[in-house]
Amino acid sequence: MKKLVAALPLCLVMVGCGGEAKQSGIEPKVYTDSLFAVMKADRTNYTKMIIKRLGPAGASAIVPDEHWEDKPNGAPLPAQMFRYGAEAVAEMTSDFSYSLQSLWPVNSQNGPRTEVEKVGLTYINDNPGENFYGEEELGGVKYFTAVYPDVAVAAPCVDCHNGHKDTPRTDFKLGDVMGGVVIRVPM
Amino acid sequence: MKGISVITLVLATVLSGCAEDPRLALGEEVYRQNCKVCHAQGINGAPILGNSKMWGPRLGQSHEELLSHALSGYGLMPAKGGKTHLTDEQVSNAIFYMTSQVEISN
Ligand code: HEC
Ligand code: HEC
Repeated sequence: MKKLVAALPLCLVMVGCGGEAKQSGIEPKVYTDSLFAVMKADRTNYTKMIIKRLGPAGASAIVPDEHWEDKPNGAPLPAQMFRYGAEAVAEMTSDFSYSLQSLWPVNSQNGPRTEVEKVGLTYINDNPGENFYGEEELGGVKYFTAVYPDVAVAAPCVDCHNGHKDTPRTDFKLGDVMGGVVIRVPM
Repeated sequence: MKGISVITLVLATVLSGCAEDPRLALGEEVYRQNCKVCHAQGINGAPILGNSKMWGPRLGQSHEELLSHALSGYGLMPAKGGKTHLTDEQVSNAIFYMTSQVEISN
């Protein structure tokens, strides 16, 4: 009891110096939305400034190709570039993780692995343009999991996926949600 | 004659009071089903609905210019957003709706 009395002024002092008493911090949704904004901007710029400008639709200096490593002027596809980024982040930190997934992945590794991922991918597919936010517990840790739509914005998205030897789906159309970016942060 | 103009006046007041330009409601529906998929999130840099920062510089253009861009494709936006079944009028209505949202949410 005495201890508690002693602790009280200390508490007040700390609050006094440290600012707010309640734990301040950024909301998980704002955090994942911000991360997604950066990813989206980078992906768009890679498409616009590298693939469109230097690829077959532009100067034809590079060949965007799944097997880019086998070609002297091969360039990674935007989805691969995105995965390399996610893998590099996973080597740096466990504070968040992200991936580009689909219910119909050409790379089977990109299918949903958790129930919330599956629910989220289904939701963004059924509600074009909307995000999904959920919570899940994995290995005893609670996570905030957000899923953002990835859309068939150009004919090559649709043509390549529909015609890919490993695709589970062949009827993608322009403007369809093809998959989603999953961002997960521990709470 | 007087009666008719009074009725017209009342009708006009009622209409403008409870219903805006009918193209906006029609356009909202077109937007929801066809444009939202990119314009809600800014996919590929699509100006986000209601985001004045993204729409601002584009609003210097006339409705006709915006429409012609949306119809024939513009930058990273495919013609009609890839929804080729839409009529020009539907796309036009959607643009009226989208531009009407810019001041409202900011
Ligand atoms: C030239 C072929 C090609 C084009 C064009 C292409 N993709 Fe892909 N996409 C792939 C390949 C291959 C993968 C698997 C990448 C990996 O190894 O993770 C992939 C992965 C994906 C994934 C993750 C799920 C999956 O299928 O593995 C999504 C979502 C996706 N692409 C969407 C798009 C969108 C949207 C576009 C257009 C902006 C696009 N793709 C253009 C070939 C292509
Ligand atoms: C596949 C994604 C996608 C869809 C679907 C889509 N848009 Fe766009 N839209 C874009 C992108 C990307 C831009 C930005 C283009 C640029 O400036 O490079 C854009 C820009 C625009 C602009 C501004 C053009 C200008 O001159 O600045 C208008 C207007 C527009 N879209 C209307 C529509 C309408 C109406 C629909 C639905 C019928 C629609 N969009 C559907 C991707 C899309």
